[in-house]
Amino acid sequence: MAATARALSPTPTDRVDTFVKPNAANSPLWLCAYFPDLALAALHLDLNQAVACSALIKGQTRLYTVSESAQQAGVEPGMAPAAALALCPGLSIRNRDPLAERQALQQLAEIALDFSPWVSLDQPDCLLLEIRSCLTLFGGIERLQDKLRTALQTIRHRPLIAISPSPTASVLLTRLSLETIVTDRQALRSALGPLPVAALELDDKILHRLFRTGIRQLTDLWRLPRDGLAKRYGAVLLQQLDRLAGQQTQILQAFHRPPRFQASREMPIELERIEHFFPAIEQLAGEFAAFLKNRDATTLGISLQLHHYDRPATRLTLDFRAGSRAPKHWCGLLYEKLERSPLPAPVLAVSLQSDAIAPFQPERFSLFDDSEQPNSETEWQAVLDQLQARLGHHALKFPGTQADHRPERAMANTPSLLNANPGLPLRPLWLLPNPDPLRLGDICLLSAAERIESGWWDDQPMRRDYYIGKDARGRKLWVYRDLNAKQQWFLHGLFG
Amino acid sequence: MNANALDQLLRSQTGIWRGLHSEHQAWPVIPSGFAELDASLPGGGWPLSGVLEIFSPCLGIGELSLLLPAMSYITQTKRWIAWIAPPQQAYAPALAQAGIDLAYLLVVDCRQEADIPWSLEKLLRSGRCGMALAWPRRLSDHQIRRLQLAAEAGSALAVLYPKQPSGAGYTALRLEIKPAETGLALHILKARGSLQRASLILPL
Repeated sequence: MAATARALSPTPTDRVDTFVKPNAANSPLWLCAYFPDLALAALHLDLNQAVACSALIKGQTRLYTVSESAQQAGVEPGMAPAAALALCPGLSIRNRDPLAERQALQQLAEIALDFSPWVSLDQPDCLLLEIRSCLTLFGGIERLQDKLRTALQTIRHRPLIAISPSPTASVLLTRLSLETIVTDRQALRSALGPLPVAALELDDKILHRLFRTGIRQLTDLWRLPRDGLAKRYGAVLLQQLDRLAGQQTQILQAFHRPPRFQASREMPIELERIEHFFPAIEQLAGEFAAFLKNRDATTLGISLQLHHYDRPATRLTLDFRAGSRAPKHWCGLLYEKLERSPLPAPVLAVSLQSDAIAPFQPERFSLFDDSEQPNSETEWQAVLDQLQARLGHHALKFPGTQADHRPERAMANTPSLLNANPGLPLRPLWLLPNPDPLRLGDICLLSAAERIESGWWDDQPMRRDYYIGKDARGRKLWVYRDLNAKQQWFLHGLFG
Repeated sequence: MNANALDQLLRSQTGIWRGLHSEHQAWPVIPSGFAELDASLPGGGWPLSGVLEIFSPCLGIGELSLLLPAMSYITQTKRWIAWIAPPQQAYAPALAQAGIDLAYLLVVDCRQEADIPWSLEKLLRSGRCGMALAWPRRLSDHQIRRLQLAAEAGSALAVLYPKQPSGAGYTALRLEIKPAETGLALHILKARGSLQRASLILPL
């Protein structure tokens, strides 16, 4: 039993900390900013109105987050939407969007990086900042807290902020809506003491047993002997308590700002001709290529701004189909775009920026097959980039097929792995996007009917008999009789 | 100088026109998939470096079916097929039925007529594109000449379905097609490297 107790007690280095007064200037101090309304704010809802968002919990739609004014009407998280609407008829309920929440939290983390070099997103809906090292810079804890709160509120999020030497304790305090500041590890236990035991992340069985023993608050737990606690309630409880008291070192992942590039060049005089100011763009492209090479990255798009005197800047954007780090290719595309679009005024300065930066993926090619040049795939992507830059974003289509019996839906504009569907009767090479009403007249039918009856489960059911026909001009047609709409005949395709 | 040496000398010069005797081609070809047609085409197939013009009275008489075996062959060699501004929607399931690998299929929308020859030239020159099809309203002689050079540079086949026949033209091959009772009537108007004029009916 003694061995168990030794194994579960904090590591020797931590135990030294508890006896020797820790060096306050070096021990980390964790600020937790918790966003209780993150799910609502990420959906751009007005938090002053009665709004809520719902999520699937155990297969049933339940309210996930509820705004304050809805809570005043009696609505609570975990309610069924119908029950909530009965209580508060004006309540607007939206579906939760976890992706938008993550993006919102990352946006908040980028703001928080202005206050501390160490920002962690490890805990849900929270930012954890290590602030001991930056206290002097911001002039004390309260000023730092105020500035951070103002900065986070600029993008319509309302944080709850608590500060303590243990990240777990900070998170716990904010989740209980306690905006406490504890700077000293010694004071932490007494600050956490009055908190209810139910706030710990324990399973219901242990909580129930603790409750029956008469333990209500954390102080009650701290008074009990460690080895006895470990024996009765398992190691999990002790680990939680140690984390709360800051006696167990926790490793939190740091959030890093995604890389971004921005550089500009000013012209000595206003330049009008493209060949005069283009060398500056080439220089910027070269700088950007070096930036990417240092980070072993590629870019998926760049944006070029040409600044004029007393006029809004001209903006050119390029999107690449595959990650690129060839400045020659960018310059070629930019030159062509510039040539085709006349500038409204002479150019004073140029700036190049990009925030679409992706890791570099080396090209794979076969070791033995030397029929293709190794860089031909890159060249092909470059040609497609040229077409896309001139013809527009949606000009390139890669037709594919989809598993659907309805002819209109059997095709897609995305490449698919699915190829031919064996056993399918002959299909036409040209398909009319909108079937043409037709009078059968002089069309002779060459094939037996192919019945297509499908789509009853979604909004577009169809019941059609398809035939192959031939008209007087010798065209081979794909016609159908709509069995739903008065047996009307339509032309749907041509066998080119 | 004996006849054999003279013959060899003449053969080594690709610029010399040899009239009806054109058994040796200076350009690569791909099989058209129709034995009868291959026999009438110089070199025994579609020229893989040139412009093919097909005059067709309307859509839907087999103007694409004529090329399907060649398209299937091209995608099997992992080269792309580009459709530039098709007049209707190309239907992918039908192309897949014809054995074309859809992973090598590209459709380009051109809002402006002037973009069609530009896109064609870019794609033909790239070398990765084996066949490019376009339906231009009208192309001038010098535009067709440029396409011919681009096709030679990228060893690709450019297929044009012009709305109106243009002048003398620099095309490698010119066909006229018409629907017939038993299939497709095909008339070779011009073939580079041969004086033979052929008319045949393909069962499609």
